[in-house]
Parts: sequence; structure tokens; C-alpha cells
Amino acid sequence: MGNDDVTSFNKPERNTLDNTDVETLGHAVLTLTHELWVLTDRLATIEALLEEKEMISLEEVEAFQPDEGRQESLNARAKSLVQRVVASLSGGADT
Amino acid sequence: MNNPFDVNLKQRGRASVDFMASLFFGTMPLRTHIDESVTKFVPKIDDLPEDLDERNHYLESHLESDRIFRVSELVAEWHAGEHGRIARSAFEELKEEIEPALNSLDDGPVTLHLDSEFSPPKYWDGVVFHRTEGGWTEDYQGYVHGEIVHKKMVDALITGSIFQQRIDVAAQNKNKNYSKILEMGSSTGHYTLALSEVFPKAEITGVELSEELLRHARRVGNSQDLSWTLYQAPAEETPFEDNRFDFVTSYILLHETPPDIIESIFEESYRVLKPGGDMLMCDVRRYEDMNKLEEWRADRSAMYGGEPHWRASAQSNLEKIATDAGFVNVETQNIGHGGYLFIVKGQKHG
Repeated sequence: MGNDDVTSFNKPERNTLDNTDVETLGHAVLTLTHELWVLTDRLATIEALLEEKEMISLEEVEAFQPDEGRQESLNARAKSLVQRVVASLSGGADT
Repeated sequence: MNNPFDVNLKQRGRASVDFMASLFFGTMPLRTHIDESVTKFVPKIDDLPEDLDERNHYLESHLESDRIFRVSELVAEWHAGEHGRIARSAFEELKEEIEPALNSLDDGPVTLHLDSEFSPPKYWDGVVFHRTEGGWTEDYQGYVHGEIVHKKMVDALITGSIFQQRIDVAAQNKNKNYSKILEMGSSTGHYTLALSEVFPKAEITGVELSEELLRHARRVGNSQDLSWTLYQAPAEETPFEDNRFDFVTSYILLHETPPDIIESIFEESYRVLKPGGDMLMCDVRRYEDMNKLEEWRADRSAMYGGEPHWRASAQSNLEKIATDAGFVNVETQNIGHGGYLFIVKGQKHG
């Protein structure tokens, strides 16, 4: 890349992650999956509360406890999320 | 005021604990795949190398080209590193709400003797057992370990209940009428509670190294109005006179100590027992009771799970150690799902 070929600035070559970063990246993916699940659960909590009434409080969101049926449904969704992420990490292998 | 032992986690903590269980169950197919892979290059499990390090090297060298194995390792490593952090974070969300109730449980019938000159033994000092964030010294670590990691995370993964397991162990000698019981390694007081439940008339004394775990054990005892006496002291060197107790017992302590200390714990138990008194120690399944693949899995889990003494301890012959310490009528058995718990019992010659 240089000013001799100004078009080389269009798609510059740049080193980013190498093999030594992959492990850290794997951890980051799982951390993000965890955070995604916390938000998914939070949204499901808010939706469940809004089914009962129009106005809800932050305290109600924090204190919400899923009943048995809802917990089973959440567990199935979380397990499915984990399995999709793990399948992607495994190169789409059937896990 | 909320009962701090019966409090629901807030949304983030609750969802995070659920996620840890889903991560475990959602990745079971990976572990099944690995077992199947191993059987392809090791037709006979007995042919695996005898030496554990050599066996680990052999299996790793065959599995490292398998991406599913590598992903499984990633998941296991993330879980080992994060579980304590997630439990601590769930506690911090609750702390303001439950702290007054926790502090109020410092007062009650439990007597706690902390050692102002406590010098941690080398095998324990600085070790982050279970890779739990903060080790045993962080504020309220007893609550984090006993009430969140054990009660909410681990209990969700096993068949049965880890608290029922403690009662089942204590109940091994339920027909005895003990008056003085010593528990070696009281941790957060949950086996102590099982002992109180099975032997309600007994005077119960416990020793434990960690001040934070002892502080939590005191809360547990006080919450049930139980008059335990707890000491900050090593199980291998207790402050008690000879022939004081009629039952000495421990639950899952021994694998946190090296073999020479295990021997000392049995010798100390013998010393403080009355003639004819009973000893019952419960620990993890012995390696000799596993096939070579199960042993490799258990050893690898310990190697990366913050268990520096597990291998040597699980390879120790507790029956021989008990006999060498002087115990008679020594017998052993496995109980619990998959025989996970190993029990050794004996009596002091009387």
C-alpha cells in the first residue's frame, strides 16, 4: 500500500486476528451468548408481565419467577441457543 | 426482612444461572461425540496407557484434530472460569437487600472461634479451589459458594439433590445415639445441618480453615437455632483433647488435601475419638472404581477445575489409611447417583 497506487487504499491489507487470538475470541463468543440469553430472558420476562397488565415496574421485572411451564420453555430456548452457537463453532457439525 | 436462604435471584442472576445449566445440557452431545471418537481409535479401553499423564497426552494427541473436542474444551474452560464470577455477580445484585438479614444471623446459639494467629497450611494457602472467583477469602464467599454455586448451579445439574446427599451420608449411622460429634471441614455448614437433622440431640463441633466459610456456617446454624461450636483450625491438627468425641465425620473434604494430610486427618480423628467411637469419611469416587476412560475424564475435570489434590487423593487407599491409623471394622461403600460418593467407616478400638 502506498501513494504510488492510490487505489490500494480502497482495500488495504491489514493483519488482525491470528491463531493466538482465537481462544480469546471463543471466550468472547460464549460471553456474548450468555449476555444474549440474559437479554432474551429479560424480554420474555417483560412480555410475560405485560400479558397481565399494561404498566409494570423495574422491581417486578427483577422479582419475576417463571412458573414451571414457562421455565421449561425458557430452558428449551436457552438450550437451543447454546446448541446453535456450539454448532457454528464446530463448523456446522451436527452436535 | 427477607430470609437470605430462601431468596430469589434477580432477573440477571436468575437468567445467568439458567444459562449455565443450559450450557451444560446443550453441550452433552459434544461429550457423547468425544466418547464415540475415542472408541474408534481405542477399541479396548483397557489398552489405554496406565500412567495418567501419558494417557492424557495420548488421548489429547488423537483428539486435538477433532474440532468438536476443541470446542468442548472451550466450553469447559469458559464454564470453569465464569461460574464463580456469575455467582458473585448474582450475589452482588442481592447484597443490599439481604445483607441486614445475613448480618443479623451473626448472632445466635452458634459459637465461632476464629484463630487470630491463624497460619494457613501450604497445601491450602493461595489455592483458588474450584477456580471460584475470589477463592475462599472474599467477603460473603460462604454465601456465594453455598447458596448460589451449590444450591442453585450444581443442584440443577445432578440427579437427586446435593443437600439430600449430605443427609443420606449422615444417616448411614442414624441408629447410633451420639452425644458429641466432630465434623472435619465444615465448609458452609450444610453437612453440619444434615448431622443436626439426623442426630438432633448431639452436641456438634466443627473445624474449618476458611474464615468466610465459617462465618456462613454460623449463619446457617443460627438460622435454625442450632448450638454448634465452630473452630478455625485444620482437620489434621484440632485443638481438642484425646478421647472427646463419639463420632468423627467429614463430607467431601479429603480430596481438597494431599495424601500426607489425609493420613494425618485419620490419625487426628482416631486421637480425638473415644474408645469404641465411630469414624465416617465421605469423599469422591475412587479412581480404582473407574475404567480408564472414566478416570481420564475425572482427572481432566480436576486438572482444569481448580482441584490440585484431587488426583493423589482419589488414588489414595482410604481403607488402608484408616486401618493404618488404628481403626478397626473398616468398611467402604459407594452411594449416590453413579456411585459418586465413596464412604469409609471404622471404629476406634474400644
